[in-house]
Amino acid sequence: MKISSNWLKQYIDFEINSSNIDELVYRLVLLRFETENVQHIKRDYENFVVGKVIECVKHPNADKLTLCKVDVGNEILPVVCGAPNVETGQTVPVAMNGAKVKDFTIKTSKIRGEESRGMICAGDELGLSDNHDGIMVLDEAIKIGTPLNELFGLEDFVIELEVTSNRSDSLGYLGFGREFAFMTGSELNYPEFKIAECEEKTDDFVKIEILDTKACPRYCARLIKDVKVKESPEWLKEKLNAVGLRPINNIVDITNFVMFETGHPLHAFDFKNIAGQKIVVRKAEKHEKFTTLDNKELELNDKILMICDDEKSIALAGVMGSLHSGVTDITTDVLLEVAYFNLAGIRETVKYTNIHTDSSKRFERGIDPNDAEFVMNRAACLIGELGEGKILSGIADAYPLKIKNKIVNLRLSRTEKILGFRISEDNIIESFRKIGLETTKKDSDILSVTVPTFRPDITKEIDLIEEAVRLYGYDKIPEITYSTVSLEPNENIEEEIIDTVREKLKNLGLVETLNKSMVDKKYCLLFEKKPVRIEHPLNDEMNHLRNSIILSLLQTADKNIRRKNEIVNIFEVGKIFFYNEEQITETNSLAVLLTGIRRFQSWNEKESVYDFYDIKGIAESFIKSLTPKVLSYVSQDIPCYFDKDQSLSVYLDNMKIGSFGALSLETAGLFNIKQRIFCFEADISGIEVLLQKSEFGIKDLSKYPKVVKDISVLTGINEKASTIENFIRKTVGGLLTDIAVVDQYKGEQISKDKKSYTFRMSFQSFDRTLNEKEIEILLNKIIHGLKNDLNLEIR
Amino acid sequence: MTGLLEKKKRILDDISASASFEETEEKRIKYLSKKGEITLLFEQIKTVLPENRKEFGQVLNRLRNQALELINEMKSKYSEVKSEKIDLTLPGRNTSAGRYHPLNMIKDDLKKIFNKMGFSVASGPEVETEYYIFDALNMPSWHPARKVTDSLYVEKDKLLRTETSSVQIRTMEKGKPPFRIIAPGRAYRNEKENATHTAMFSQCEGLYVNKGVSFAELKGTLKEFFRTLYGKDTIIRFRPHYFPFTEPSAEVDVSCFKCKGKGCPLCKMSGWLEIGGCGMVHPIVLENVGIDSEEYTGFAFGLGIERLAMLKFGVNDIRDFFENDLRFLEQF
Repeated sequence: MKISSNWLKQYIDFEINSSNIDELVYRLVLLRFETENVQHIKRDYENFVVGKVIECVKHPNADKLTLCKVDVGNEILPVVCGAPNVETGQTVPVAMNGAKVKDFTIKTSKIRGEESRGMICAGDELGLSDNHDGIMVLDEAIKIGTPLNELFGLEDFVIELEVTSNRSDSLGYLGFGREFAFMTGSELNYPEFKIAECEEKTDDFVKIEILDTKACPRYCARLIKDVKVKESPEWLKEKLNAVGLRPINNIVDITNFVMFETGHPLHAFDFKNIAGQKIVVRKAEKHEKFTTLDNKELELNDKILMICDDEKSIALAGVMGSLHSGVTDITTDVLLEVAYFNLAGIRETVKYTNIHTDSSKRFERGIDPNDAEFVMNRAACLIGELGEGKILSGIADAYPLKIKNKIVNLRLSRTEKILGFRISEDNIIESFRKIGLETTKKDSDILSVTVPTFRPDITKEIDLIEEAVRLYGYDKIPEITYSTVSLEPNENIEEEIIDTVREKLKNLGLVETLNKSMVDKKYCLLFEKKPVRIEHPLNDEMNHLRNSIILSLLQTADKNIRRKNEIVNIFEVGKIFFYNEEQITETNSLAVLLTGIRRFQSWNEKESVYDFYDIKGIAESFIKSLTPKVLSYVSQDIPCYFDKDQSLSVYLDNMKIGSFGALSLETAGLFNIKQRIFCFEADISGIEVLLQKSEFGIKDLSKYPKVVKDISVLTGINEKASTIENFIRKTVGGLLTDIAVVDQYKGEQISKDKKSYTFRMSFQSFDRTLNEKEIEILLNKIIHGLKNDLNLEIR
Repeated sequence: MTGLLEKKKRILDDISASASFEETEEKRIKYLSKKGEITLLFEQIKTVLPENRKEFGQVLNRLRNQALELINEMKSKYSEVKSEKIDLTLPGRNTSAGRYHPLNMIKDDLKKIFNKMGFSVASGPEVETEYYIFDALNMPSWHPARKVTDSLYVEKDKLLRTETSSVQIRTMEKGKPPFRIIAPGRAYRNEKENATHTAMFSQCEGLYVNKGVSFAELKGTLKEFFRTLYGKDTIIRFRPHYFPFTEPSAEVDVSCFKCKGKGCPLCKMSGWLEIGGCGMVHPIVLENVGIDSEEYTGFAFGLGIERLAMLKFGVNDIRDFFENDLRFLEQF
């Protein structure tokens, strides 16, 4: 909604100018009128006056120039003029020395040897029209010497307001003016007019029949005959231009003007096109056809309310007229419609047809049913004035059940309770009165408020409380905090676990990502869980919900690889969505992805790339940071998108916690990734169980020294390190505090089908220093066992 | 015997002469390994006359012990920490520290601050029914957000939540007042994406329902929150607004932390940053979950996490958060 300060001035005696506009905008915001834009329109004609051409002579040195003498009131100026239409006796706009015309300033100069002390202006040079064919000729009646500012000067502020969707009353100048007058402490003046009706009666020419009084509680019509359809006068065109409307003709312009003035939409029909002198308001039939005035063909349904004559439909009620029912240049008799339609019905039409108009926008929010006479008379009067029409007496008014003002009670105690502070009774009553809400006191606590029909948004006490604090001023609301806070234990365990998981993964040097839940179906199919489809996706890239976090990480990896980010070490914890026995299920899940370069080459290190043992290390460290329990890592139940030969699953007893390893080549291939990708994934629910079953106890530490020994074992090429490790653990028992593979060797010094593992073992006792002998016995036991039980060779 | 004593002197002198840890180790191998000189001398015991064997053995043992002791002494001398000149300009060994996503950093901040103020964290499903997203929240049937094409539906009556406000209903349904929760999470709209809008975004919902909760307390609570987030001299402004699920409602502005309200490009010269919406829980919403709205009152607020993050980190395009370009993420 655009508010022009010049237009608003008609109803409120308050000057908006450059010095108060910023403050006004700020105060409007506090009154719930957000400003989207303020346009300052200024036409200033300093040093421009009205002059009279008293002499025209051809320029001696130029064919196309004329030497003029121009009387500007207090002196006569020599002016060289290039316009073809300049003539003696014309009244013209003159730019004198100092005047700015477009980009240059007028000053005395010689043009081809002749002195010129001003310029006679064309329309475009004044910014008043596009005309540059000749100078602008003014009405002779205008007094010579009149400053041009008195004729054409303009200063206007056009404030573009955002009106919240519950407020219909502020979509008109009078409704907005009520709020503006309250804000500035000024009075709102309704336009005054006197309607001159002729003898003939509207009732004798038009009959109104409402077939659905719920959808259309009121319909008023008035006939105006012998109208001259023509261009609107300047003042009207200027107003419409200011609010962004294109002037069409006086009749259409008047309906628009009155709609903006009152907030109540009107419609003008060409009465000659209305068959049977009858208006019928009814619902459309299924599949009924309708052609809008902008020539769009619609097929309707039976929820849409129509305005019809005796034969055909002539308008989509409250939204738009039909192609041939409107006012044209040859119209002489105009039937004006001012109606009140039910909000829901209009919304139905708008939703179905997707046609949004200035009219529908107002009806949708709800307008005042009871200002119809005022609106009708205002428009009729203007048509009488500007279109020289004969206004038929009386209004054909179908209003079977009058909509009355509501009475809503407001408790002062309740107001204070909701707001947390007190607004005085007097303040409430007075500010309510200023915006049209009359109050009477019921008892010491209760105000009985009469809510006029132009405020359909107020139906409950809470609406009045909001109104009270809005008018009081949101900037004056105190800021209260209470220091006594009762802390409730946090019961959201999952959320805490997610945060723990994120912290652990971040501490492992990984970068957290956040990806959208929406993904392309083709990627979902790769993963095992049945994906959830989105019904109206914006594009195919988001037609399903992700059923795996790995899927998101793969997309991220692909993007980063293409951008030459060579180290990709990322994780995400978030929701996945899938069907579990036809039920949409969402669970939290975590995934880690490693690919590309692990370390760049540096002065002390060779470049290396990620491999299986990196993701295994991440999985192991992550789990170790969550639990002291030893979990088992087995080749069992590996999801299909992993490479079976390079993947493991982690188990706590019989419960699978997650899987990790290299993704299969097909998986990577689907994302066009041509390098190996290593992932770890686990459900948060599994982590939750793991944490519940784990209590970190503090272990005693031995005071005695530990002894470290290495042993190298030659094994078959397919032998697993874990077999040997477990054997050694079992053999030694409690004295072995640690064992790790510190070297692997394959190569020339041993046969091709063999490899060598070196294990480093730490021995330590809690009650004594182990002596050489004990260690030697243990080592012999190990060697003996490895040789005899596992059939291995010791190097 | 004299030969042995001479040998002893020579060996011990030789060990003493070692100039480094490595050389000492070489000497150990030379004298004390399986085939070392001292080890081999023990084998000579049997060639010594029986009456001299005991003495020979004792001398040899002493020699072995002295040699071992000397070697250990020398070794520990050479392995002592010593300072040497190195090139300090070479880069350090790389260890990566890991990063949180910037949106989650803000989310963590929110949780920390509101936890201190007595709010606990709640969550709810992202795929919701119309009841929790619209009906229970007093969203009129004609509200634009209810248009099927504006939301992401997955089944009839099932859609991705358009606001985290649904968690309000889920929370209040489960128990009895008082409730004091925040619910950070994802929300979705079927929107064309641009520099300020994405189809998926993150919000933080807040709800406090109790006896005597007021609009003024809402303002105070948010003010304290933003003072903690953006600095002590932060002030807030309430602007009246309309939301179906709260009344009275307000939009919340925070004084620009960059220019302290003087006006700068960040706040588009206004001195204020628009940050979220809030209000008193509408009595209809309370009644919808069976709470007596005469006895209890409550406030609710919703903050846009992307917006807070964009402001705090100076990110100009919201889409950057979901691109996950590591060069972007590694800056936080």
